[in-house]
Amino acid sequence: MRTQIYLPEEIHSNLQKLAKQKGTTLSKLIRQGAETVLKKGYGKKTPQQKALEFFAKVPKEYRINKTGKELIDLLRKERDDE
Amino acid sequence: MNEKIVIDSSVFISALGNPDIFTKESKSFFIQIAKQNIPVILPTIVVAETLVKIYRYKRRIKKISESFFDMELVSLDLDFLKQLSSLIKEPKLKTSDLIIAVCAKLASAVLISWDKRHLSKENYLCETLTPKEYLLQGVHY
Repeated sequence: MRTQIYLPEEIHSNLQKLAKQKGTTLSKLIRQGAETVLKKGYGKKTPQQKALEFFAKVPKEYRINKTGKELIDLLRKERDDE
Repeated sequence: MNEKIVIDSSVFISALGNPDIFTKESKSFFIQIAKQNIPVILPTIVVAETLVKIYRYKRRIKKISESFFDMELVSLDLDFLKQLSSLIKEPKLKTSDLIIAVCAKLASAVLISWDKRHLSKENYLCETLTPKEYLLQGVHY
């Protein structure tokens, strides 16, 4: 399918240079870029992002009955007591 | 700017506490770095230390441990220990402090911690910021 896209001048120029270096065409580079975006699952969260969100929204059943400050101080105390 | 960061146990453990300013700021920090997809690396000692602390209060750590295993972990292998041995200079740093700071140094990463020892001059190994300071740098909003 044929389509038309607008590129910023700098990106267009850099892509043309890259195509020349690699012995390929601007169109092929853009197609490869589009395939990469689709393969990587654009907009999908990575396992690391999901893990970090777990710590940002810790379910109540995992909450410890001490304040954040108390837990930080306890950790430091245990490190000093090692 | 997506420079790597190492997160100390103090940030993870504080996020699990009853709400106070540290809990709140740790959670905001996790939300922002997840959103920005900042590369995180964790020394295995941070995982072990955090899980042991949590287990003391809560017997349910499966989900928490699984979350850790989805991050990039740095093992205490022979190569790491060789590099660590050449970097020991400050007698006041405890074993876990040293391992965590060396991990950040070797990865050219910023260490994020609430621990006053990491944030003090005793930590000569790497740049260390609190979660709040890291977010206040502005580029992470």
